[in-house]
Amino acid sequence: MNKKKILLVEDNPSDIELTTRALEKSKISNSLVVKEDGAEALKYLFEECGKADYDDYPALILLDLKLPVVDGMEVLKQVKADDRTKRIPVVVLTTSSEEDDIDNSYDLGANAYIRKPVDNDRFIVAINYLGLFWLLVNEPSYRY
Amino acid sequence: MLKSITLHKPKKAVVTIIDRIEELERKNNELSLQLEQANKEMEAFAYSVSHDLRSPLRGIDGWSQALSEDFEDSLEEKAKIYLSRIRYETMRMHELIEALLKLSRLSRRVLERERIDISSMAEFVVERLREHNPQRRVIVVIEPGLTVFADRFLMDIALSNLIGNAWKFTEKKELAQIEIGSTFYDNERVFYIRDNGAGFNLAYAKKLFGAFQRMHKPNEYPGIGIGLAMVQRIILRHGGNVWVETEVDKGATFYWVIRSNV
Repeated sequence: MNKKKILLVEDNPSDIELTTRALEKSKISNSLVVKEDGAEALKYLFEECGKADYDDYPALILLDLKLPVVDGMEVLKQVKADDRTKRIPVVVLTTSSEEDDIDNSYDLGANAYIRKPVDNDRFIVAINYLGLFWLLVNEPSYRY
Repeated sequence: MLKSITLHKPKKAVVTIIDRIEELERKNNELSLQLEQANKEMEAFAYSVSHDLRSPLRGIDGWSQALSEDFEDSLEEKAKIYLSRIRYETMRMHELIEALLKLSRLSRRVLERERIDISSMAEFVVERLREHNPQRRVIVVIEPGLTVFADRFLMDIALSNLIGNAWKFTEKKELAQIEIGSTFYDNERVFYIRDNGAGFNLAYAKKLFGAFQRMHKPNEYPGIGIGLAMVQRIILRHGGNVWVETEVDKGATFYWVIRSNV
């Protein structure tokens, strides 16, 4: 399995822990980097990743939409507009099922859109699937 | 002197009446605008509430699930049962919120009217029900060629709920019968759906079309009481009416009329 990091952009502490737990339950052992607002996430991706003595780019970005400071949509826009990060799969992970949010996410280049189920058993299954697909089944670009 | 009075008085009266009418019209417009604004605000509120409530609910279910799974060995049986109750109630609240969201979506949708064959739409709904419940034996009679000028998406939801209800409440009948047809009432084409199911006491049905109103116990007939609220909202949005005739154990007939010139 791809041993690169997963970047989780999420502000709710309970959600961060539940997602961490779901990843563990799914035996996804990639280490997790958590950024709690959009500005932090962008700073991490554009200033800390890709430098020789710093972090590599993540293999996968799990992105919430409702975020403080800079919202998820803006993060998505910047990630997909920058040559360094545009090929990193971004999975929108949110509670919103508003049609506009779904369409705008795809228009901006989101690779998948998942509405977090309230039923935690189903949430774990969803995380399991997406980990399996994006880290194992899907062939990533090697040039980022 | 007399001459001038007969000339001026009626004129003045006419002017006053016109002024009054204009004033009333202005007030009426103002009120409609305010009402529209209030409705919009309420819908926006319902929408944001249903989104924002989802997050803590996920937390409640998430941590209950984590507790019962990660501490399976140390939890007593009773504790596990309590935890499953918490999760069950959480899911119920989630269902209610989803229903609220659905209702607000119905109200926000911009109507796109077209000529719809509701007889064949009803056939499709019945087909779906038969596929889902192959064990049920229900006689369904649909009058052919019924059409309305309405929003297809919304009419499908309304019909699905009306037929779904008739289907559900005839569950305990040996010979379940559902009839969909039309009749004339006050010179207007009125559609109806009649079943020979459980029916209910009309005296308790004041709020039948309100959200989350139920006429039966959950263990008799499941449901959260959102179907008829959606039906009514859809029919009202089409400038129509919906009403019911029913008696306990004698089935129910729901009538609805849709007006195309709204």
